[in-house]
Amino acid sequence: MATVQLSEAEKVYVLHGIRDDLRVDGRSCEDYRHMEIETDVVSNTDGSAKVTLGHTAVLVGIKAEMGKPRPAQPAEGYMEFFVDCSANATPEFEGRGGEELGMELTNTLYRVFNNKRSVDLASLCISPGEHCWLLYVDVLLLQCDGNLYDGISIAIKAALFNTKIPKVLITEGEDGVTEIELSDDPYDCVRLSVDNVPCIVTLCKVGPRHVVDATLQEKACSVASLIMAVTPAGTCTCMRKVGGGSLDPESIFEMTEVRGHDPGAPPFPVCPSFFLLPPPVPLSSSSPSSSSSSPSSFFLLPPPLALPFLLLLLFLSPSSSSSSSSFLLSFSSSSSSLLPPPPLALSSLLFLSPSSSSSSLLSPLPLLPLSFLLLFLSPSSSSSSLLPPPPLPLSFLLLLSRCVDI
Amino acid sequence: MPTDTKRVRGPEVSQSLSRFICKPETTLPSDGTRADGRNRDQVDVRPVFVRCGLVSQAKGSAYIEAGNTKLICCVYGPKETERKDETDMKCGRLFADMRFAPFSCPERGSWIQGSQEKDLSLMVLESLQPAVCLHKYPRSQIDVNVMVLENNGSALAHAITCASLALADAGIEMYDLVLGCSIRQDGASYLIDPTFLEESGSNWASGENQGSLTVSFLPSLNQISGLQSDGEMGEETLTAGVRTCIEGCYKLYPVIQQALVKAVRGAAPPPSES
Repeated sequence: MATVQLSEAEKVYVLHGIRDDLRVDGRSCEDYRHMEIETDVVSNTDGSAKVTLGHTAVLVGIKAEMGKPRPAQPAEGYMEFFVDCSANATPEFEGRGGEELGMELTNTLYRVFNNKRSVDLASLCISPGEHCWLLYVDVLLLQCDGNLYDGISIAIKAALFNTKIPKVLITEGEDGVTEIELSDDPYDCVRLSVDNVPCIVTLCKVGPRHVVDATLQEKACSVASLIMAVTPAGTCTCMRKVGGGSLDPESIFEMTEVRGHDPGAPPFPVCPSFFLLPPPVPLSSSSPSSSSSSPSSFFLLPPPLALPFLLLLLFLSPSSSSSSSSFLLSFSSSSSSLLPPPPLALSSLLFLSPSSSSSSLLSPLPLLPLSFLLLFLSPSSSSSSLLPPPPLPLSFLLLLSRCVDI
Repeated sequence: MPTDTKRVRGPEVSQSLSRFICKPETTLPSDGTRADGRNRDQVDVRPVFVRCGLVSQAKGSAYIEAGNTKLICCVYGPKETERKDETDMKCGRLFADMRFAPFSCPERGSWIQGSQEKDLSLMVLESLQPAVCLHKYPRSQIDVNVMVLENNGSALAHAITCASLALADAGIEMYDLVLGCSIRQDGASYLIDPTFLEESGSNWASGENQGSLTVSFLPSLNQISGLQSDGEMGEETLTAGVRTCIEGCYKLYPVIQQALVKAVRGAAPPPSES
């Protein structure tokens, strides 16, 4: 497992900082690092996403293949997970070194998705008992700097959102033989609903407190952590203690606790989850025009679902021709005027579309105590030289922000 | 296993007969008693039968039987560590291995350890590790092997209990015993120590709060050393479930203590009065 060695003095430094709610990189205990989510990064997949969380980088590719449904669930497709710890991430993973960690992560993912509501498996069925879609979810760890679980779950959610399953037609031949026809139009495809896909939040117990999004240094100071997979509805699809230590029952309850005394606070104060992604945009040749008419969307869940995460989605049409760098520029210039300059721990997150006026988008932000902005997706024009420009008429931008817990 | 290649063997893939039986809808009765006479929503763990020291070759061993769930666990060590590359030699290392016998479940399993068994092994290891004084065993390793002989639900919880008992029987220094307990949440009510049928109940799809939870608990230190849940449950349900599991562990505690005392007495009979 990717670990770092810390001296006793360093451990004391980290521990004392966390006791005073100030972490080594300036965050408070319940802050995440900056996050970038990029979707549609590998053209050969049916859906893919890359997530960078601090120095942790995860690439997820989803491939849909046709197979036979499992005998126990004839009317459902299924998902297969695999986590590969490549030696790129750390030399410890060389050879079979990453196998143990990969197995642990893979098994946890199976557990997280082991319920009927996360993904609508029935929609993956083509003909009951005969054919179904099999989603191979392959996770590749590119860099490890702690908090793998959270990064992987976010990447999987983004990749599932991005997944396009081709439409197939089943026809019954004269002699009772079923034929499967694949549509010729590459845009004729089905999107998965990712509304209920959970995100994992890892709470790392360090000294008397717990932190989210622990770096490797913080992880080295902690004996045990609790991972929780949380859905937007506030339910938990998997909870698990990892690490070699034990936890007091009270501290577990505290970690999972809903903040009852503060009516304004969202449930799961430290268990943020993704906000719902907007309904998938139908892909058709007319999409450039439709996307320019609604260049962006801002989603805030109703209070019962209001988890501290906010996901914003921006659709850029190719005609807007903004390179990601200019986009960032416009973002930073206007954000400074509207919000206080982002200190280290709280960076403000805004979300602008180059073609539309930003004020309407920003209005909900003052309602949030403060939030910060994470991440963006590259428009088709440039930025990620590694990957070819996506074939889609739209690429989109995800912005993720989290209210600061006051 | 040697195979005779000259002989015509059976088909490569075979299926259990149970798949072809038209099962009546085995839904759990939604209230009142359970199939084995226990009640819902009560901390009603199955009575357990426990023995220590069955395997004479092992340093310590234990057998546990709860209903039809039967497990055996052996502990070997401490012995010199096989892995010499470890940088941290000040602490001993614990290895846990949990396996299901191929005939233990309704459908035949494989002898080769599958990913589910590896996952359970990891859970056993992480549950036991906080309880063992590994710093007393530098440069050495302790192996824990759990074999499920018959699986009728809650195998992981009983495996943890059994393994900690075997460790204690082996004379490994520990802070506390580790007790495991699991529940199956079915809507608003829970079933403690579920049987195999209750665990894999067919009405998973319907309604909210369907899931299962396994907790391992150090009773005298009041610490939770292992926790895992799946399915989908609300936060309050989970918290209540953890509390129920802890209660279930306390019910198990005196039985385990007695078994241990009995094993110690049997090993060294008290000197006669005369």
